[in-house]
Amino acid sequence: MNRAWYYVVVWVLMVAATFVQVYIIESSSSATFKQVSIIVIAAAEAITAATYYQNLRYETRVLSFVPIVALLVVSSLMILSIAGGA
Amino acid sequence: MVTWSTVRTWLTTTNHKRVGLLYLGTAVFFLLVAGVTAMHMRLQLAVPDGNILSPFLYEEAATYHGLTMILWVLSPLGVAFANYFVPLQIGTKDLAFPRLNALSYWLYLFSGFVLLGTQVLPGGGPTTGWTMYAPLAGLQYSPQVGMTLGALAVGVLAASVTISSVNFLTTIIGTRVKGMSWSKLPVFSWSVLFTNALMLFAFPPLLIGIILLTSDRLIGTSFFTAIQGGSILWDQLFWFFGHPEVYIVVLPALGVMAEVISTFSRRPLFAKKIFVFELAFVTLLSFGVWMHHMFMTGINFDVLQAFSFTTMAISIPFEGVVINMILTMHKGSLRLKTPMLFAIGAVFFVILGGITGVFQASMALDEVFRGSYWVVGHFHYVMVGTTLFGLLAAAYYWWPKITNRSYSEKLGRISFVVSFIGFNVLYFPYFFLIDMPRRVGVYADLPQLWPFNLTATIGAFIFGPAIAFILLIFVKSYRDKQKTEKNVWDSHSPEWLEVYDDQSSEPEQIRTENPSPNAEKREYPESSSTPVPIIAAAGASLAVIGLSLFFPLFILGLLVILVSAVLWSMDNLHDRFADVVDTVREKWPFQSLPKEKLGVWVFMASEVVVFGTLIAAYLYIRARSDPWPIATQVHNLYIGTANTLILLTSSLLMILALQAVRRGSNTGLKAGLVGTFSLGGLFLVLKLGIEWPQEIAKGFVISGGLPQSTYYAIMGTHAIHVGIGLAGLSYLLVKAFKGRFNVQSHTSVELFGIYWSFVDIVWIFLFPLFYLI
Repeated sequence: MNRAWYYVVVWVLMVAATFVQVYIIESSSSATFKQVSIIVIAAAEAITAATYYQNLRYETRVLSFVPIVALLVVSSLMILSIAGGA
Repeated sequence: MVTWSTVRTWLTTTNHKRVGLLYLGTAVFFLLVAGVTAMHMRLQLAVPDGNILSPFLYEEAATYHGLTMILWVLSPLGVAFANYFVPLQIGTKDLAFPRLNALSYWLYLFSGFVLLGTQVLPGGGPTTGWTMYAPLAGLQYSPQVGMTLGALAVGVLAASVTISSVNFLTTIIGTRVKGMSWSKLPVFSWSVLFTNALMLFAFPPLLIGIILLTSDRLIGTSFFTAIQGGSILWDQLFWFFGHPEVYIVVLPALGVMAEVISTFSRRPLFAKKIFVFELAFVTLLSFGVWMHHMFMTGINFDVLQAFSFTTMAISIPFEGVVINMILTMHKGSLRLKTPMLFAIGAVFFVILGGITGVFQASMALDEVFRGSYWVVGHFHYVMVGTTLFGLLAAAYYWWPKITNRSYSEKLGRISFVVSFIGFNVLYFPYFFLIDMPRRVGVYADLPQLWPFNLTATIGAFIFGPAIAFILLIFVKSYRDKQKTEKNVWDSHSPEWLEVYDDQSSEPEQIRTENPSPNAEKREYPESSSTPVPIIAAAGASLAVIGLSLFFPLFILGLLVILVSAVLWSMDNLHDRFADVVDTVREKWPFQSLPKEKLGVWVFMASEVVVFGTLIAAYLYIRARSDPWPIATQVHNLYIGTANTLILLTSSLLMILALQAVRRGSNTGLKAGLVGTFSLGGLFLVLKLGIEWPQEIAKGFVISGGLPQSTYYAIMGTHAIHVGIGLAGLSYLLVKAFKGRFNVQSHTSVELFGIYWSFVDIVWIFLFPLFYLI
C-alpha cells in the first residue's frame, strides 16, 4: 500500500474518533464514563499521531517509547500533585 | 590593547571555548555581586539590631543573593566548564548547535543585567526570596514593578537554560567521536549529560509558573491569588523545578571532583560504572522528592509520607558517590596539589551537607528545622561547599589547559586553607541557629543567638576575601605568563591527552574513516562568527523590559526577535557551521538519527513538560473549584470541533508534503505546505478572530475568574505555538518556491513536521479538556 494512503486512513480514523468524542459528550451516559472514554480516545489519537505523523514507527525503537513514557510520567505527576494538594 | 576587532570577535563568537570563557567570566562577575550582597547581609546580622540595611533592603539583598548565586553563578560555572571541555572529551569540534550555544549565553548575560537593574526602579526589586512564593509575589504584597521584571528575567534565563540543555544533550548523545562508547565517556561528561537532562525537564515548570505569575500581575488573572490555585499551586510548580535545580547545581561539581580525585590519586575512579548509575539514580529520583519542601503546608499526609521516604532514599546514591571517591583515594598515590585539596574539601562538605539534609527528610524534624538557619546551613554546605569548592578544583585543575600558564602552587594551597577555614567559620554556626528564622534582618528578641551570628560574620570576612584572593591568583598567573607543561597533571582524560583538541584538522578516527556516500563531510571553518544570537537575546530582553515598563518597547523587542529569526534563517548554515556528520559518530541508541532530528526530539520532550505543566495546573485548579462552568455551555463546540478537524487535516497535509519531497515531487511539496499554512491560518482566524471575540462579548474575559484565566492561558500558549509554526512554514514555503528542496536535501521539512504534529497532538488533549468535559 502506498504510504500516503496510510496517512489518509489514519486521518479518517482520527476524524472519526473526534466525532465519537462529541457523540459521547452529547449522550446520556454517566459523567465518569464520558470523562474517561473521551480522555482515552484522546490518548489513542495522540499516540497514533505521534506514531504515524511524526514517523515514530520508522525511528529507533527507543524513540518510539518517548511519547508513551512522556504521557505516563506527566499523567502520574499530575495525579500526584492533585492528590498532594487535597 | 583591546581593539574593536577583538570585541567584535567575542560578541559574535559561536566557538565553544570562547563561549565557555564568556560564561566563566560572567559567572565570576555575578559571584562578586552576590558575594558583596552577602557581606552586607552578614554585616547586618553581626549584631541583633543592626541598621546597615533597612528591612526592605535586607529582603531585597536576600532575594538578589539567592537568585543570583543559584541561577547566575553556580549553575553557569558548571556550564562554562562543560562548554569548554565536553567537546574536547567526546571528540567533537563544537557543540551540536553552535549558534544556539551563543544564544544561550547572551540570554543568560542579559537576563542577569535585567535582574540587577530592577534595583533602580521605583519601589525597588523583588523582595520575596529566591522562591518567589505566592501570594507574597503577587500585586497585593509586592506591588513594585521590579517584581514583575525580576520574575521575567528568571523566565528569560529559563529559556536560555532550555536551549542550552537541548544543545548539550544532542551533543553528548549524538556527536561523540567513533570509539567513544558510553562506557568510555569521561565521568565529567556523564555528569553534564545528567545535569542537562535535569535542566530539560525541571525548567519548563518554572517557566510556566513565571508566565502565570506575570499574568496575575499584569492582566489580572488569579492563578496564585484564588484559594483554588493559590500558594500551594505555586509551591508545586516551583519546587518541582526547585529540587532538581539543586542537583543541576551540584552534579557538574561531582563530575569534576571524580576526575580530579582520580588524576591526583593516580588511579582510575573506583567503580566508575556504579558511580555513573548513582548519578543516573539521582537524576531520576530528583523528580520524586520535591514535596519535602512542602511538609508544613498541610497537604495530604500520605503523599507527604511517600515523599519523606523518597527523600531519604535519594541520600543513598550520594553516599555511594562519596564512597567511590574515598575508595579511589584509598591506596592511591596521592598528590595533594591545589585541585586535589579543593576536591577533598568538597567531599568533606558533601558529607556534612548531605547528613544535615537527611534530617530534614523526617517530617517531625522538619517541623523544627523548616524556615530556620539549619536549612540555610544545610544548603550552603552543599551548594557553596560542595559545588563551589568542586568548581574551584575544576578551575585550578583546568587553568593550565585553558591558558597554558602555571600558577603558584604555594598561593593555591594558602587559598584552600583560608577559604576552607573561612567557609566553616561562616556556615557551621548556622546549625546552632535553629531558633533563628530565615530572611529576617534583626533578632533583637533573641540575643542568645548573637555569638553565633557574630562568628558567622567573622567567617564571611575570611571567606569572602579568600574568594577574591583566588581570583587574584589567576590574574597573577595570567600576567606572569609562566608557561606550563602540556599535560602538567599527567592526566589520562581525553582533554589532557589532546586526542581531539585540534581545531584545524579532523579527529584521527574520522581521517581514517571512509564515510558512506550519503554522509556529508564538510570542513569546520575557522570563521563561524555571527551577530544574530546577541541581537536575538537583546530583543528578548527588550521585550521583557517593555512588558513590565513600557509597552511599545515590548513591540520593539518582538520586532528585533523577528528580524533576528529572519537573519538566522538566511545564514548559510552548511558553509559556515556544519561539522562532519553522522555516519562516523557514536550515537547509540539513536544511530539512525541525524543530530538535527535528535535535537528536535529533545526539544519536543521539554515542550511535553511545558504543556503537561499547564494542563496539570488547570486540572489542579479545576479539582478544587466547585462549580466549574459546563464546557458546552461556555465554549462553541462547533468551532472547537472545526478547529480539531482543521488541525488534523493540516497534519495530514504536512506529512503528505514530506512524502512528496521524498518522492522528488516539488509540486506536491508546495501544495502540501500551502495547504498546511492555510489551515493553520484558518485555525487562528477562527479562534482569535471569531471565537474569542464572541466569548469576550459574553463576558468571558481573562480576568473574570479561574475558568477564564486557565482557558485563555492554555489556549493562548497553544495559539502562540501555532503562530510560531506559521512562521516556520513561511520559511519552508520560501525555500520550496525557490526550489531549494529535493530528494537528498529536505531535512527542515521533516523536522518542521515533527513540530507541527506536536502542536496538533497538544490540541487533541485541549479540545476535550475545554470543549467536552
